[in-house]
Amino acid sequence: MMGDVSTARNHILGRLRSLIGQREQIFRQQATTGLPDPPMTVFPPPDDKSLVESFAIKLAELAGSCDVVRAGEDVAERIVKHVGKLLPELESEPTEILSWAADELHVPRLEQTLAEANISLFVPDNLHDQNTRSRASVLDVGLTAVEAAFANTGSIALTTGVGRSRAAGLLPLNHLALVPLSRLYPTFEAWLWTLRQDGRLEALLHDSGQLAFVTGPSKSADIELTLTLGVHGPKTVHAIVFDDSQ
Amino acid sequence: MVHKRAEDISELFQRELGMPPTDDPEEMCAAARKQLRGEFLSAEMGISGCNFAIAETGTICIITNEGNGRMATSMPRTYVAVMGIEKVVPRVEDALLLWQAVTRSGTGQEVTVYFSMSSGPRRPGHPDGPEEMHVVLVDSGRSRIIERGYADALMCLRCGACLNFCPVYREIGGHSYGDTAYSGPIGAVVTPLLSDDPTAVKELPFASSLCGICRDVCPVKIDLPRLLLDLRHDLTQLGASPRYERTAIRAYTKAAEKPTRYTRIAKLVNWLSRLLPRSAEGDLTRLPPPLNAWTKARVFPRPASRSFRTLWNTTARDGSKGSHDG
Repeated sequence: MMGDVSTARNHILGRLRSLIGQREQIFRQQATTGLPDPPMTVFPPPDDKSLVESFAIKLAELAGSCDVVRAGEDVAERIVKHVGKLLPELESEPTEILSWAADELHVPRLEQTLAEANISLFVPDNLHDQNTRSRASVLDVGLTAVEAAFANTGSIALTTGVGRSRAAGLLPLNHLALVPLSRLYPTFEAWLWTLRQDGRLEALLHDSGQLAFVTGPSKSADIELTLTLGVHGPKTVHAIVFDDSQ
Repeated sequence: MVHKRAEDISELFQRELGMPPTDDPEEMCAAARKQLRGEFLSAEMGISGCNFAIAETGTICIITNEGNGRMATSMPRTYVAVMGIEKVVPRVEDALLLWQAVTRSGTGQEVTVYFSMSSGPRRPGHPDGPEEMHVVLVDSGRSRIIERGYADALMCLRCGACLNFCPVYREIGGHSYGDTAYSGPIGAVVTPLLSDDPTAVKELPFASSLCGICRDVCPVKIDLPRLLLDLRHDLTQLGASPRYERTAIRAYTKAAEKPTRYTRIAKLVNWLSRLLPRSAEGDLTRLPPPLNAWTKARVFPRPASRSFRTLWNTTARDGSKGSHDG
């Protein structure tokens, strides 16, 4: 049965073409065959609240949490504070966290501040290497930035790239995501519209291999419909939103 | 796992993972995480289905809440996505819209926790992601569904709303009506269509009461009752209905052709029914074959003492005296 791949493809496509040619109407309901252009928004953009406030409320509803750093405050200090909360043993022992490369995180004086608090970043360069994989898989905190964040659903978008592993936002039990204010959008659709205008959408998908939207911690209700967190992905998702206008 | 009780899962975990007995879902979940994490990190190949495939960018989208989808598409060296040919949407915007629709109708969430869009293997210099990515497109009877005129059924997003709202399936669960891959009203439509011999699963389209709630809750507005009715028609044309049914319909057609004939036969049947055994309430407890299929499990309501036509004639006579108060 396993014929040549292109033969099977030609067979399927030929069949579909001839069917479409034969029939005046493939679907009975024409209204459902096309989607609106421009696309509609399923969940409305936040109205009366600020984007940051809406994002924080939404993420909290989904068992995530959010911390807002005002202009002039130190983002790196906030990261240290949150890691300290997650890892109480931090004060006594040096700790490694799984992270994107420091220059992908857009936080001034990050490594210096972390080093003072005994925290070092482990930035994997190849997770198919067994030693790297073993080292990464035992870490409890993952630190990433985001490609974009969305106020109406409390979601973030993560890309993969040089210095930006998927593992950092996936393997550790705790995910800490840094959200620059300039990347916070009201809806997915608003973000897509911007990417289309700039002609960046295709390149973004292609260059990152995988683009993932993440909305709160990993969850399941498979066992007797009881909600459990941290099934395969992180159990806590904490966003630190900061003003990056300067 | 959804259809198993916590005790059953705990028992399974005790046996397979050597876990101490517990009824706490959280503990069992943690055990599953630990066990499967090892598998995810050592597996050579990850295989997933596909919720949407985006034509303009060549992207495979999968949605999960647990994160198993991101694991399978990110950690192993090879990633294989298996998709039905109907999963293709034109643009990125369409996939995001349908994602929100399928989630809303499936679990009531606004969006699932994860939406992973894979557009190929990892690029040079990337720290992770599969080294190879393959997509298997499956027709397996789907183009035949178009051929038979039921393309609307291919719009299904597999949200399960029709299954969850169906008054029949809501009571009896998704595993009833045999081992078909797709259960519920949409399953009753696509199973015979995907089958090489549609008459082999001929009961499915007839199981619905056609109440129409499946059509109302469908996020892509598939007219399921219409499709079910058309399938019944097609199956009957194929001779799938039982012989007694065909005979009965032919006999009824003959009987109902003339009012006088109909009245006479109705009277005869009513009179004959008096010869049959009855319960204390007067209901019929035993009918002759093939109607005994009914009375084997329940009683048949007793025939009214006056027929509809008698009542109608009486009412029509008295109608002028003003009895139309409803």
